[in-house]
Amino acid sequence: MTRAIDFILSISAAALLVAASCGECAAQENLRLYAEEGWQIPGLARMLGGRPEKEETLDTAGLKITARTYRPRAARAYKVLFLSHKDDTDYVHWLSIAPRVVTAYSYKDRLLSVLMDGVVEFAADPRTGAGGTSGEVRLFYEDDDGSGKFQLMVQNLRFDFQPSIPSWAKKLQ
Amino acid sequence: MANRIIDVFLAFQKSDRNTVTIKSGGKTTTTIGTGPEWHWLRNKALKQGFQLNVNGPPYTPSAATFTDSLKNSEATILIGHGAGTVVAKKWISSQLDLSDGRVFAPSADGDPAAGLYLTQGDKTVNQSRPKTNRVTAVFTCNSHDLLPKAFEIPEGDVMITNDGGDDGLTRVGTLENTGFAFVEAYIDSNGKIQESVNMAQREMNQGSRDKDNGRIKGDPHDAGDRLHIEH
Repeated sequence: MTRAIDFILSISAAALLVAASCGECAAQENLRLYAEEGWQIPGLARMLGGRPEKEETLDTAGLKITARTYRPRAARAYKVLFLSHKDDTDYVHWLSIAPRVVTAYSYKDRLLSVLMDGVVEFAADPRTGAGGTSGEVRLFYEDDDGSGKFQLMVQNLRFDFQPSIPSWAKKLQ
Repeated sequence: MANRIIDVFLAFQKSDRNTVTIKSGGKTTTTIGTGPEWHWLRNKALKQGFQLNVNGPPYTPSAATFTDSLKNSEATILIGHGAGTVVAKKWISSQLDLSDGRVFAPSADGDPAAGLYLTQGDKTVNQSRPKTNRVTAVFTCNSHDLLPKAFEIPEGDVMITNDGGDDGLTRVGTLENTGFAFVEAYIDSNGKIQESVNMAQREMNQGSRDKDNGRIKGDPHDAGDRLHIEH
């Protein structure tokens, strides 16, 4: 069973509200972050518009889910919120992530979720012009209510993480 | 006498190397670094009795290739991103990706045991912690805090790690240059580990913040990053 810590976030233009504390969450547990307005993945439609590198059908919770894997060229980095907890303090951290491998999960032509493998990207330093890439992250985004928005983002994915199926998709059977 | 073997795995895309962006006359140009002269170092190593096998970039070893290197080579050097996340204000790598599995270090209660995990179809098979060889160097973002737990380091062997400084992050181009300096010094010194780490650290410091007086000598991204020898 996946251990998870739930955060409910409300993001407005300039403010971030953490509505639920992380409690005793440790470094590598799956963190489930909810944003009512949905998490943005800029350029996702373009990334999924090309020819998939791999396509397979998964039998997940009794549903035939289509998983298409893309390796987008020159995908632009975007800012991702990372939350963590240490010594009774919640930390908010923004990192620029450049997508490398994107897997889209769909059922009956409805996009359910996206698994994103990316690397931390440093923008050019204004003084030296130096930039580059750094650590590798995996993020999972899910359309939690069938609205077409990714309200749920899961981070700190352990290697045995398996994509979940939102309840609304099960009703499409 | 057989050559002493050093295996280098460059587990990153060429396009992930460090970049330099120059703005001139209203025009912005970004150039990706070409990386160090591994071919030159391979030839130099041969003359000094070492067989230097450089794989990639990009090259992600399989579990069999990686463990074979640990068993049969004098030194195994892995250079790449390191998979992990941010904890508090610091990046921590908790696993090294292999083409058919991973080396994993747990950090929370209930996490799977440390060791090598193979992906076989839908299953993940746990194997024991891989044993390091004389020198196993993991030049990734913060390989220092957790990853040594994933390996068994026999007495007399060492693991070289990077703490990534205050933020735990190091650019992969810097890590490649650092790894190159380590291997070159290792060959030049006939396998002296501390000397090789010192040379690698000097390379890593190039263009970063001076830890002693806080003055920025060059680029701040990799400021204060330190190499460690784990026993």
